[in-house]
Amino acid sequence: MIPVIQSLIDATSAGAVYALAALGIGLVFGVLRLANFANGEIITGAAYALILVWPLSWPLALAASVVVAIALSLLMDLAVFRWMRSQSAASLLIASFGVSILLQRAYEGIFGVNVRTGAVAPALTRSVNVGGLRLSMLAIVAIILAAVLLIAVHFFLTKSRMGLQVQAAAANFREARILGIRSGVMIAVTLGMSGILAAAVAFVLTTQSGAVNPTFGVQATLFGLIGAVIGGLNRIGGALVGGFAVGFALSLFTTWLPSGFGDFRVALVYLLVIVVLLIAPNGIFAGRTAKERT
Amino acid sequence: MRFASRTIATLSVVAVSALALTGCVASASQPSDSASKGSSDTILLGAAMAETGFMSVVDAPALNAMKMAITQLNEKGGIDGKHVELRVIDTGSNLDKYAPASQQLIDAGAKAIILTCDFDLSSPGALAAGQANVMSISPCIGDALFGPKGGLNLSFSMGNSTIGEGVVMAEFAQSKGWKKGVFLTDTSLKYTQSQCAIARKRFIELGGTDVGSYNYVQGDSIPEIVSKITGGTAPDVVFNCGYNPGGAKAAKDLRAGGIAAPIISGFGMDGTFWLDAIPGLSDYYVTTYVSTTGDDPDPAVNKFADLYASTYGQRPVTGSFVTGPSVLDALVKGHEIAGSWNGDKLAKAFENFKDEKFLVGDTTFTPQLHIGVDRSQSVLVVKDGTLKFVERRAPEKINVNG
Repeated sequence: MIPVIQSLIDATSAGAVYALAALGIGLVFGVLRLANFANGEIITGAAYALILVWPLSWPLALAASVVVAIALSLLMDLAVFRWMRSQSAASLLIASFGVSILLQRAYEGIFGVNVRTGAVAPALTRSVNVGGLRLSMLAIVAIILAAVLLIAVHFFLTKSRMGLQVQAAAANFREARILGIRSGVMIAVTLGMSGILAAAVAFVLTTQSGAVNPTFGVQATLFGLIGAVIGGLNRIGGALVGGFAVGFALSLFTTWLPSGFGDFRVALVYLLVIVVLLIAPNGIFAGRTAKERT
Repeated sequence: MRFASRTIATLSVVAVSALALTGCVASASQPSDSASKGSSDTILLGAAMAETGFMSVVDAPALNAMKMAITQLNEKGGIDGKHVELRVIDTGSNLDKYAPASQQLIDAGAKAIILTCDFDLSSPGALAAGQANVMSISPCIGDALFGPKGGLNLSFSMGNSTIGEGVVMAEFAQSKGWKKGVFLTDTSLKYTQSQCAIARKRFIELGGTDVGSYNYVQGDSIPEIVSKITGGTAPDVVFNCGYNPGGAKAAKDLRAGGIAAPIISGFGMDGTFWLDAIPGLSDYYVTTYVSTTGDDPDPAVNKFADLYASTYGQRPVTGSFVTGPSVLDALVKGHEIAGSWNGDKLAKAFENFKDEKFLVGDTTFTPQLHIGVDRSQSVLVVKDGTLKFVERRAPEKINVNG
């Protein structure tokens, strides 16, 4: 029984990180119709801030990572995506690949290609044993952090005036604009929120690895994007659940696949994605109707 | 504008899958010199190596040390009165760059091609060189496949063979009285797969028990594996057959998960640059070429490391720096015997090396093995945030077939 519970704890922790990544991607997609692959480089930027500033001051490092993530989100929109508002989502996705590669090269130029190492939140890199279960402090923090941020995002979206406007923009951007919702503000708020979520992902991942390189955020974004797609890019909640499901499944495959089959865990996740998209082409939680925006 | 979420969903999955399969993003190689033919007054050596990318940590010390050795050689008159010129193409550690880079260097008149310290990456470059009857030589490839066993008859490595490395890891563990071992293999490279397979085989031969073998891939977090280890028989030692940065990430997960058993790795985990990620790390052993910190028992190694530090402003990152001058010395020696730069003649000369004295250690090649398999290696331990010399150890029992 303990191995089963232990695997569920590990899977929940992994799922929480990808849920955060997917939520950030889903939020932006909901408003901008932008499946932002460059979200990985926002995570990377925040991670560099954490690694480099942490030795000076941990509160400053946390603040710097959030500021960097938000700034990068806004800057990439200002420099690239705002000029492509009328383009198709596919064009925006391709553009985000370009931004992603450009930023990776920029990181290489600024920080070098090799890893920068440092201990971020070293107090969290230990475990406690409770009744035979290994509880990683970082896993606990990751789950709590994800839960708090998800609840905060939920309350913001459902209880605040601005959050309701973001939701309205996500549901039907054209009608929201006609109703007088200021699109520029909504976009900035959405990008800011995605930046905060990216900084949270960066915090968990840098604490876990203690190292960052120019492609640091790519993997989390890959799985976050996949999760958002299978959950339903059109639905913020769907993206969140999809991201969690991908991380959860990946972790369970790692734990339970028989020896010799472990290398297929990622392939199995992709197989699941194919199956889901065959059954529900728009994602599990998305509606079947296409959406419009100008 | 009409938006089809089905299209974007499909496109997203295809795009991210393609990126995942291709290792995400490739960087462009930048030839560090023109591709013009080398002059008749110089002997051109070509290097298709990684000055950037994940292999640069391993390649750069060897390449830098080779440049120093070439300067020293030229000050003494070069080879047959001709100065040696080294032309480097930075492959960025990208597999697809090695064959064209080698060809470019051969076209420029390179007498030998020097390749990255990894078989998987270097073999396309070695094939290109072999087809032009040009010798390829790697400072520190560990796989015996880099040679006739891999169909590369004109390819040699000055590195320590993975065969000997895996055996040394196991025999060192046995000498410490560690009987129960966990084997963690990074499956992204043939090198690390062979390392753990050989170490495990020798460990069991010596009476040890495998209490868990697990695979991970470079970059993975391994909390699930840590849970399996902590839920099973407690190991006396963990063999972490990985390389940086993924190997360090695995080590961090092990320690964070409460696994305090000694960890032992091969050359892939040499270097101190990753230690900041795991403050207070101890009981971490690495088998490698030499110690870079000045405590190596060979004064010539310490002297060269000091010179390296004064030349480049920092000590060599890994012990592989000793392989750089050894490549040059081997080429000089081989050319002296062969009297030719033709790959086949030079290879014949190399195959007659018997306990030749190089900075990397005594080197023997045979027509079957173009890598030293029984050379003694250094065991280092992480102490106070740096690697300290523990002992020199030669493998006691070698199986050349791994």
